Amino acid sequence: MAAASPQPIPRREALVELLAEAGLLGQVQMGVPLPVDAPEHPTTIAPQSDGLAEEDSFPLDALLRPLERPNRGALIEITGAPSSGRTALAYRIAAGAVARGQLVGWVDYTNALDPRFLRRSGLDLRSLLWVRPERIEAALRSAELLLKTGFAVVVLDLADIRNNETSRLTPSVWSRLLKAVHRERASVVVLGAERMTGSFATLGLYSERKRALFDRGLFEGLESQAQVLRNRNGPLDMEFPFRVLHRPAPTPSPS
Amino acid sequence: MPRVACLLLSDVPLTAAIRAEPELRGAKLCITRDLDIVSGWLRGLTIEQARTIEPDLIVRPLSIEGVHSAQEALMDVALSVTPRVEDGGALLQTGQSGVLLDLTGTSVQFPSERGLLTALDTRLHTVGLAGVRSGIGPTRVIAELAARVRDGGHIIDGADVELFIRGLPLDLLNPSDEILERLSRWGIRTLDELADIPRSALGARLGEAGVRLARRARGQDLEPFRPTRTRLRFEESIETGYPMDNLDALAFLLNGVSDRLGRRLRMRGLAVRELRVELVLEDGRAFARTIEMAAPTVEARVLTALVRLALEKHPPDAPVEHLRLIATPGSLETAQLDLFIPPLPAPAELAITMARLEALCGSGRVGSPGVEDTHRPDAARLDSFESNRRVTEQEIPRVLAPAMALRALRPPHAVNVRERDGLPLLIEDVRTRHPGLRILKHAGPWRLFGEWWGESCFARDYFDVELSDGGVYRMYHNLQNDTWYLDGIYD
Repeated sequence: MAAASPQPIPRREALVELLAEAGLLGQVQMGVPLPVDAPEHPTTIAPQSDGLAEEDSFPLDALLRPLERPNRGALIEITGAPSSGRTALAYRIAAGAVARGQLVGWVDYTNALDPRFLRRSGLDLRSLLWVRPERIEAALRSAELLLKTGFAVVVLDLADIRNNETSRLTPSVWSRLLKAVHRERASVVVLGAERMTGSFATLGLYSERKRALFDRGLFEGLESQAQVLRNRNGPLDMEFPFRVLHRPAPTPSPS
Repeated sequence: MPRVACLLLSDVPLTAAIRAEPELRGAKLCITRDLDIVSGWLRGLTIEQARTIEPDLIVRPLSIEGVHSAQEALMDVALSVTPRVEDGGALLQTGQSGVLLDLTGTSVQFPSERGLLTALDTRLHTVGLAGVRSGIGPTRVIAELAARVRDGGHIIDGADVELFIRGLPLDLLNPSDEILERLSRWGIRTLDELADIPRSALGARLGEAGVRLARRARGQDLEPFRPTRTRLRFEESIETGYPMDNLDALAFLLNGVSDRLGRRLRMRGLAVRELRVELVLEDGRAFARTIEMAAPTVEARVLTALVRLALEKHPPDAPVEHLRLIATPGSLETAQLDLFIPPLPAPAELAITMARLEALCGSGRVGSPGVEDTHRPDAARLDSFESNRRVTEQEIPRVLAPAMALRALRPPHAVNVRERDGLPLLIEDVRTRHPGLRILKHAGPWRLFGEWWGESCFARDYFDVELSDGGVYRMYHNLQNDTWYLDGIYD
């Protein structure tokens, strides 16, 4: 049975009304304890028709679809500052691959993956292989191994890489990875703070946060904009705004 | 009418040596024990004597484990045809090995007995056993005699037994020397001559032993067919020949051992679920490693790669003199292909990759992310990766617009916080001594406490804060020791 899509929960107004009825208004700090498998912030913003990306019509899909297996492989680089929504974009790509029945590998060099949030992005965790190398060389070798084995999407998370380590990521590294990508017709998503792959990237995205959505005492998400810095198969200088919102945990199946 | 087949290995030590080194087939090979040749060319001589006759003689020491493996391989071939197999060791002379197969019910799979013998021959070749004689008859004795007297598979029908035993020498039944001598003095030298003597006359002169021998000479079994209980343990081993400290050279030998092991398991329709590597080192110490397979496999290449990776990870600290692989069998996984879902990597390929990744990244660093059953938000675990798992259509979630991601900070960054009325205003990273970061916006606190029954008890106030460095962080106040931490960045 397909899970129902999350409905907007009446937020502060409803809560305030309830507290007022109970005579507790002003005595209670607003906030909700986090139950297991429940959203940390049980609110969601309904899609708005203000030019921001809405469900089912996410502009990134139009860019990625020609690069998906079995068409051809792609080296996709997503860069941006912390809290710019770059990791959310990588989650989105990984979740899309899993939904197509493909295997996804996540090479987490910085040990930053959070399974709870990843699951909320709609990804079946059992279809994802989480690799946590301690050395940058091991991270690159792991990504290559996963490609060679037949993983359709490999996320190489180098977002929090130290400055002295970027010097080890020479062009030959990306050349080799790109060859593996083309040979296996798979995709590698490189997640970083700054551009590293240079002209080897098939698609280069730069994510920039516009604002954090704090709404009357609740943090509800980020409003960002992705800019296409490099695109071998299409036009450059495209921009698309998007929102990343807190999403409830998936409803466990009755079984 | 029952039918029995016999597979006879006439020179087991020689066969075992050729099985371990197939390139020796056809060579002038002898097997030695304590400088005496016990099998193969110039048997009965010492090595020195044999060398004077044949300078190019190839000498290999007797390997007891190799002999056992050859015998077990013979049993595996027999069991691939019928589950009712009897170890025929008691019937045979020293240095021989054989099995008897009850062919009841096998006609469904093998309509003709000639076809059955051909299939057995092919399978014997597959497991590396050469020079195995075979025969089929109405009883165990006749089947064994058929295998012993003629090469190329001899089939004896019930009606042809009298004709078959005519002229066969008595010593084929391995009688005692005393009985053989007495019968020889009486001029009885063949089975048909013994079979013609009346039972009472034979019993009066030779006793029960003589009567039993006469029954066998007539082609009658003395005991019913007794199937041997088989064990599901597969071993293959090899002597390195000299202390070997090079892993590449060891891998070369390992490949042959893995190949033999894989072929035997495939013969039984099984695969390696767990593999134990046992090494005997130069100084006599034992060294062992157990490798759990991500997916059962019989591929020699896979087994070799996994063992090699295990030895690279934990190398033995002395040269190796003996190598043994012990497989715990499991069912072979098969993948059902789907027309509409892209194919997944083969389980065996995935098993190698998992092993290589673990060797590369360290133990406990490869798997599927899992969510702990706790209220603690930063709890994460690593589950085993289900290589052959397919997402069913019902399980595929609808992929929506990007959802919020959190980049965990492991371990959490301790921070000093300046607060007012319990709410944070300014933070300073304890580690980097970064000058104070202003908190531009905040949400919270959300109080979480739990696991009060154990050491992992926690009590925290969680905040979401936007700092002046541009990041939106998850932060908590540990109420147990009044400390503050940043434990994740929203991204």
